[in-house]
Amino acid sequence: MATLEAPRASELRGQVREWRRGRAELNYWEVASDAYIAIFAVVMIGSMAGNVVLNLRRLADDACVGSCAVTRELAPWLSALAVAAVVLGVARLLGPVFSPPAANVWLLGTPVDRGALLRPGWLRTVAFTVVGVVAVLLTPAVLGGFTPSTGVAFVVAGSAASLACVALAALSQVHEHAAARWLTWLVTGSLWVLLAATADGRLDGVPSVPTPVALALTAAGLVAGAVLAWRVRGSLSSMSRRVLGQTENLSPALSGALSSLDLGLMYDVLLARRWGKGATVTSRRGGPVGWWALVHSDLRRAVRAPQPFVVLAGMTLVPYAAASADAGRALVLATTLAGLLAGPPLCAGLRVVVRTRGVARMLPMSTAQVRGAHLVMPGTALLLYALGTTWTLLPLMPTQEAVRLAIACGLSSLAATLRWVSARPPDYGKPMVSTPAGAVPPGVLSSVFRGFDVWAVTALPLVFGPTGTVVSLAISLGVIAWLVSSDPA
Amino acid sequence: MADALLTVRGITRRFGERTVLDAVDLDVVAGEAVGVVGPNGSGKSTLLRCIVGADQPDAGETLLSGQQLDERRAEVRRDLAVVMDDIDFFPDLSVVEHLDLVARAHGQRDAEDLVDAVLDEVGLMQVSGQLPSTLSSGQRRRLALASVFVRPRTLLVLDEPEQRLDVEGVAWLGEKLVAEKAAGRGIVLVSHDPDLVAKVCDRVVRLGDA
Ligand SMILES: Nc1ncnc2c1ncn2[C@@H]1O[C@H](COP(=O)(O)OP(=O)(O)OP(=O)(O)O)[C@@H](O)[C@H]1O
Ligand SMILES: [Mg+2]
Repeated sequence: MATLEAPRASELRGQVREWRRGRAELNYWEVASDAYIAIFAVVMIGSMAGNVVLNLRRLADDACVGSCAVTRELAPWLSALAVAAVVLGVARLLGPVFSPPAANVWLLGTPVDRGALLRPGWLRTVAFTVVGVVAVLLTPAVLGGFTPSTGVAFVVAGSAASLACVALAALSQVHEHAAARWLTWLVTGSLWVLLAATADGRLDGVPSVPTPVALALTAAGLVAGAVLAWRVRGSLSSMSRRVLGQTENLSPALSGALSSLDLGLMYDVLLARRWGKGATVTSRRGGPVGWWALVHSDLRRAVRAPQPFVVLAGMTLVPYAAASADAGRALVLATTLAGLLAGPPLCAGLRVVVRTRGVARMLPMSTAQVRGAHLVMPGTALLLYALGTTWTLLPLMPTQEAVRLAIACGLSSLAATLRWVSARPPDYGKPMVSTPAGAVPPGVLSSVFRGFDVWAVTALPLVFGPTGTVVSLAISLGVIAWLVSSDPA
Repeated sequence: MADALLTVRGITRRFGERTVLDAVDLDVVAGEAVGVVGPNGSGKSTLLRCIVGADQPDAGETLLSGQQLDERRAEVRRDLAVVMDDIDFFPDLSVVEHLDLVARAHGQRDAEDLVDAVLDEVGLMQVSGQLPSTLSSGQRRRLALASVFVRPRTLLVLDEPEQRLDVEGVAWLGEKLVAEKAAGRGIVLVSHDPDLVAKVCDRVVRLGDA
């Protein structure tokens, strides 16, 4: 056989880049002004957010004593763990080593060195992880009341740990072993235990570690992250197309949804992935007829995929932790927000009838009836969740009022969740709105805040006494009735 | 035989309780075309996916020129030209750029002439500057097929290459594959077109009538 002749991956990339550049329609002036606006926006928003965080820190420094101080001390560690869990989950979902399907067909089937083709993507993942985690951990570092040097060490150690998680996930992807799954369980489990201990008031602070030990641990974390990431880099060439194929369709679809800020589309992509290739179910038949058949199908969905309900149950710890931080009546904000965050995953059935008109049209019922049916399961779950937090309110008010407030919390979460889920897909046919990030369809920008608007108008009144509760209840019920019966754009 | 190109032994693939492929054997020598036929869902595509490494069989092995077929080895990727039944394209590369990319990635020196010749042959000259999203479904299929002919190859693995082609297109494909055989290459062809199979294939393996 003749010696194998294949170009280097960088040559190919250069070629593709040249083709792409040839048809770029923006001129350099436009690119420069876009970049300027983007940087301006980042600096503006960054300084505003920074200001808010610093003010909060000053407030906390003044006002936080007793059990609040303990919770405050624990908060950065809780957030670091939570960030690691999220990063690990996202990394495993997307690969973390991935290449888009077109590249799999047109490039990975050629003799070009596979490692060299995949390396830039991996380096991007590493850079994205480190920068992203640093940015996210800055807030807890400042609010946690660290000294500047400890704060820096905390941020560095936190991002190194997240990087190590991602790299470990990549290694278990390449070698197809289960280490990443165990790590995910470990991280989520410790997060939950720590959260439970905080809510319980059982912890009396973070054990103090001498500075040299802390520094040594930070350095060790850094080394571990770097070494693991380097090992992944070396093993990329032994990646098989089969493994890459497992996530190839997800990442471009998701990044497309992300770049157009379409969170609803992201939800749909994830839903499709959950029931995509390789998923199996045991069919069950029978059940009630008519309207109740829809409710029954949602119940079956919940049995088939109970994870979102488990997460919601786990979320009850958030208000209890807030209560242990002496948040007072403001803890209802934590309750409703946690409900809103855990709510949308409960609504898989509702999402399908909102997004796919054809399905709703197939059924011999009005839109309101169809949506109402698919609201029964998530509504029940959110109400039970909210009632489960009643005990956080008991020290603050008489039992009857506490129950009423808890119900109002549940309905507020349900209204906000419904608002989020009933987002219509953006209409790419309409004229685009120009933004620093490029042209986006109208309505997409507001989709980022969707749900939080309803949360704000229904949760804020709850803070202001029994009258607020009644007002919030009325608004929530109104919003739910309106969203169920109408076809909001 | 001396120049056995592809040797498949005992490929077994189960999905849950169902055994889709049960110890399938397949041999292709150089200059030979083997057809794989069977009803929908009989496991034809699954067999090809197992052979080219896009899926992992529960048992069995695949040899290419006497060596374990591992698509992670560059030599294997040079010898093996695959067109599966669904193909993704770079949305922002034109037809000619797609083909250029494949030819160059395979280290073809005279990439441009070769690509032009193949474009002419598959009838995509007119649309060579267009993006894949603007092609008709048959044209997209032709583009996928063209990618086979702009690169070196010793074994062609094709999953229903005739789908969506017009009558002339299928005739052209048949002649082209016969010419590939004459050039000493091996072919594994999955197809629902009995005429095409009769024209191209020396032997036929039937799946799914256990
Ligand atoms: N990921 C999977 N999970 C479960 N079953 C699968 C999976 N992929 C394929 N199958 C099953 O394997 C069987 C064979 O599928 P395959 O695609 O190989 O059929 P085929 O012979 O190519 O059919 P066609 O002529 O329609 O192309 C089918 O019954 C299909 O349902
Ligand atoms: Mg098939």
